[in-house]
Amino acid sequence: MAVARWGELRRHAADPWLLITFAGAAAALAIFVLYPAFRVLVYPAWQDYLAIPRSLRWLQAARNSLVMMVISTVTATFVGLAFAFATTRADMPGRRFFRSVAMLPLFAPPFMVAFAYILMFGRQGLVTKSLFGLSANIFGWHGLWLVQTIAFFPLAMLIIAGVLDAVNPSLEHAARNLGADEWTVVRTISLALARPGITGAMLVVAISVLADFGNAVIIAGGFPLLATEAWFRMEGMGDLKGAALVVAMLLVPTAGLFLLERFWVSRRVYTAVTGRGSRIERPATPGFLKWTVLAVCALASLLVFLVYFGVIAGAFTTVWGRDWSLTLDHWHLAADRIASLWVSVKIGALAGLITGAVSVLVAFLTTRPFQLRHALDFLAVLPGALPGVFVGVGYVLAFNTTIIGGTMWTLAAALAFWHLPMGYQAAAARFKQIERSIEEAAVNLGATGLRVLRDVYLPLLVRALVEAFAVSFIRAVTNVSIVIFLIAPGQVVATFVILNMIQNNIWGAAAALTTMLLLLTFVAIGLTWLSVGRIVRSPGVG
Amino acid sequence: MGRVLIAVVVLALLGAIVPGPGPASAQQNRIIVYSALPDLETSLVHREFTRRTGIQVEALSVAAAGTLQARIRAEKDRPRADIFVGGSRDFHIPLAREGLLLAYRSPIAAQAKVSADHLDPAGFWHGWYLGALSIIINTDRWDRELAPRRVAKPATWDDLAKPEFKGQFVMPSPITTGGGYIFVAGQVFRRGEDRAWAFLKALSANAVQFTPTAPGTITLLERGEAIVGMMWAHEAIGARILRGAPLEVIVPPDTGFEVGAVSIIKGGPNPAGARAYIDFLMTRVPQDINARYGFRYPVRGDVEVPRGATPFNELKFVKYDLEWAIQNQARLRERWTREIGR
Amino acid sequence: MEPHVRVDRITKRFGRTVAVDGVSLDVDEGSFTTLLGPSGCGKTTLLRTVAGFYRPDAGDVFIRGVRITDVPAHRRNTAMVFQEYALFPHMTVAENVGYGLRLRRVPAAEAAQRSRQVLELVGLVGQEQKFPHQLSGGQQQRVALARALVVEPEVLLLDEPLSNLDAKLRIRVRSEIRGLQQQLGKTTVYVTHDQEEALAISDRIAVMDRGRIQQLGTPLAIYHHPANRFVADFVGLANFLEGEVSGPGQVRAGPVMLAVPDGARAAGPVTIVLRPEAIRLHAQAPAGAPNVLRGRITAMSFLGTLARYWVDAAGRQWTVDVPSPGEAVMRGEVFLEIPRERIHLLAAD
Repeated sequence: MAVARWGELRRHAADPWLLITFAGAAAALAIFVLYPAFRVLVYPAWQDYLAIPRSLRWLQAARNSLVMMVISTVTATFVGLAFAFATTRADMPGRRFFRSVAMLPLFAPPFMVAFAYILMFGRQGLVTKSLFGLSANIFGWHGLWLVQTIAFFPLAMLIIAGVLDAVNPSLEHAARNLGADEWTVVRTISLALARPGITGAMLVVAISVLADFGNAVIIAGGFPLLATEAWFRMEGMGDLKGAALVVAMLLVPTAGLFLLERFWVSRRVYTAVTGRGSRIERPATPGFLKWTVLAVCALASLLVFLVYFGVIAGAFTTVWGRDWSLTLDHWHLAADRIASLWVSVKIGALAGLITGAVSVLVAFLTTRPFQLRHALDFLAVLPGALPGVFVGVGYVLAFNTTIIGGTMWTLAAALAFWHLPMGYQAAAARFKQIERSIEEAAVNLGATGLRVLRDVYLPLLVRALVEAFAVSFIRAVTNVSIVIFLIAPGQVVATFVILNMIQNNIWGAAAALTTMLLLLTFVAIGLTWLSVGRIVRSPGVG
Repeated sequence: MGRVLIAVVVLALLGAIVPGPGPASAQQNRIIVYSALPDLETSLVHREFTRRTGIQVEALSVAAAGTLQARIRAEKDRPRADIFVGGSRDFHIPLAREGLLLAYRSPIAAQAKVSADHLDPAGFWHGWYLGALSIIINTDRWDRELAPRRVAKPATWDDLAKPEFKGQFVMPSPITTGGGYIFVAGQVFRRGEDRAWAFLKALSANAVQFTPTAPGTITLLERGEAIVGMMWAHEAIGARILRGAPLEVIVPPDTGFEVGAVSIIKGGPNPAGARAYIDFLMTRVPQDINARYGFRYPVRGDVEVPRGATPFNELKFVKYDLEWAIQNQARLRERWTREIGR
Repeated sequence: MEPHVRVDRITKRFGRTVAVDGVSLDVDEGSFTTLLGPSGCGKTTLLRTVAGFYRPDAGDVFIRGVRITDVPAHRRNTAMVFQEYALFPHMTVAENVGYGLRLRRVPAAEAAQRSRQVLELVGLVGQEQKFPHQLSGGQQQRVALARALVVEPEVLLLDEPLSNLDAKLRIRVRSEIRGLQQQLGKTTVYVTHDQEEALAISDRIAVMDRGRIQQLGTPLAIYHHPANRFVADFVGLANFLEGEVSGPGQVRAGPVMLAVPDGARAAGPVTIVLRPEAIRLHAQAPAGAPNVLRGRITAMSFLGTLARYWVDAAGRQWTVDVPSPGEAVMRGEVFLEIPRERIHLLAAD
């Protein structure tokens, strides 16, 4: 062992810059990922942890969070499965359409579905009040259930569609050939093969539901949940210790689900491709299934459209629910706060640059023969296990009193490192695609260490960099769960302003500002698409 | 195409960011304000302050004093803001006791003969506006749903516990908000502790929700998610006058009140600017703005009472023992959690 | 006798391309018929149409005289072995093999018995609990075969089943498949693009090109009497000469005059097909033989069981195979002898 270490050190001594870079990256991850998490966990005393079971409200919040996790995960995964089915089978009508629709909630700010839901189905709702004359209480778990289903089914869809798509059509033909009818094929082959994917999707959705702050804060109201409870602790009581305790409670299930997903489910995904498969059409989808799937997708698509329609219409309606005449007044008020949008762009760009640079650097370093590279890899994906509110509280505790405390750098770093797993995994996947022999050719021609990165990988990785930047940027400008804790004078971002407006009943301007934010994200998506030729996806926890 | 685009975007972004970073605290002619008042009043007051003193204001408005209180605690080793404005004195007093505020006695307050009740004797906080708790009714839903059933409008706190308001009552949570807590403490002063809890339990049976933030209550009432509520009168009057919300305000006897305070954060970057800010808030103009747009009562006698509000001295307040309320805050919140549990 | 499988004027289009163009084919009970052709010739499409994966645009499929064109794939009992085996990765060997039986509601005991029998047949006893990814390519192939055989299909369909195996294994498995087929007497339709494989394994070969059957016949007939230039070229190597019948048993091809078998084509332009191994190579001019040309060796390639020479003669290049060459190597000037009976004539295209 010692000999091996020595040998490794000697090898690196020949290339000190690589070693220094590795140390630097490891230090950055330790400071910006591990340290805030550590601060949260040690901020309450152990007696405080022991007192948790005696707090009725926290037990309620924990129970509610778990109940929401179960019901929203089941329905979101179910709808996601339907969409995955509709988009991976050639004989399903409208599959391109459904694929595009499912992308829409992924780019919406995390509170938008809930906001639109109030506009549509609240007491002043367009559908409930104006269309059907109903007056129903939509706050609480049932409203949140619907909202989270719509908000998170696209995550499930992306994962399940990936697995369903990988099921070799020949397997389905083989089953038909052996005597299975259409429904039996779906049941015993397609769905059976997708089962690990479905399980994985459920875990990812479950983490997102648990961590969902944006929707819960708007719609859950008096229904205590762990994700919102942390913020209420600070908001109403100034109780940092309580906030830390609550997010620590939240970390237990999310980290557990995360580890389960990473070390168990993802290892069980069947590599369904044996030999070189001919890309032939799949056998027909059974009619009963086809129409069920279509019905589910059509209904979910309608709701997705209502979300976008509600917010955009809200921006032009004089007084929602009472006076439906059109107006541009809200845009004047929104324009008054346009500075916040600019702050969002600045912080988002900074976060995007950090995510991009760190992603590519860490992805490169984990391909080098360092003994600690697995630790580095783990640190880079770890933020995926941390709910946004946990990161928010963690950064408050870790950095508020440091030199970067209260500056835009804290906020940008929190957002950048929280979105690191998405950028890092994309970059690492790109590195895997690059033929080892290309690098060997460069080394053979005399390039070493970092030079390999610069001359060989970097040009090939510009795309990965742009993608990581875009995902991080889009998610940063739409984030609320971290922003709400780290907001400071001079960095009042658009989502924070919108959230306050919604809570203070200034719907029109909130809708107008949200529309502007949407435009901004779609411009970012468009620019990325123009430069790398691919639609960025931004799945991840809320 | 792609590469050029990337280059352009990256350059544009760098250009946007580079001048940004680095705390601009170097600027001496600037103060940082944590404001628990809504955006509108805050920005109007600050515009006027800058016009008169030449001092720039960078404000963070969070309509929840608890958040700002937490911030000030968290930043106690490196305070970043100079001023904490808005929110009941209940939020300022604990900070003063923890030694996080700077004492100052504004000469303007003395000149304006502001009542000593509204000023901290030690000078840690200055009261500059007042508010009263009230019963609020959504008249739209009342007229459609309760009026036909000949339900009488509530006139006292006790009326709110009547069974006809089941599932229709809303108020801010006493666990997370100052308004909610002042209400609960007020009930103890009004009825004595045990009878107060009996009333609160009956009330909670009617509650559709105890909103975690104070504005949440007015939002629910305005949207008609609840028909009756308990909240600061000025919030409801403001919603009615500014947005046409169908809200009616009834201030019952034995109500509670807040003294909206402003204080200087100890160790903030610009104490001189902070003192100028306190002096300014004690003048007529900001109190007038606050009365006009926030519908809060001024502490100065020479400022007009807000539109639509009953004069403050005509209201009947419960005998509120501030010291007891602060001492028993943790215990009452704990009991609420245990017995009401929401 | 009625054919076991009858394909009657099948046409299948994909968009504007015609994959199968009015093909008819009769397959006798117990026979081994191979569809041979280059990729895109329509052979796999035809096989899948028989299996019921595609519905033909025109024509019909019959099994034992019963029209099954409208019978869905899962009721046809035409078990197929796929090119990539299509083993169910989430099932063990036993579950893969038992899948078809389970769907047919065969009682468990009988199913176990039949599975065991067929696994014995393909030599996989003891591997039942393994998953496909734990098996070698050859073993996977056998599981696929066992899975198809165990349901006792009317017809066994094999779609390039050997293309994922390495060269040596391919030869071994193909003779195993042929052995098994003969042992069970199972009617089999086999698709391949490998002409050597087709020759080695089949009772009959249908050579396909551009959606049509170019020739249907025994391996011997296909090889020695190709129906057209495409078949001659696709199956084995050949020297082609364009010529003209100049008299009875006489063909002129440029400067060369060749005596051809009696009863060959009487008149007109012809293409002469000469297999490389049909030509004999001599160092000295052979006495008394017809069709001898003088030439010069330009290149040689030693292939173990034969030596291949490229010879310039009569103004063109000839490919000549010398079987069992041992260590003998010929150089320089040589004589080509073309036995009359080995010349095959085609009507010129």
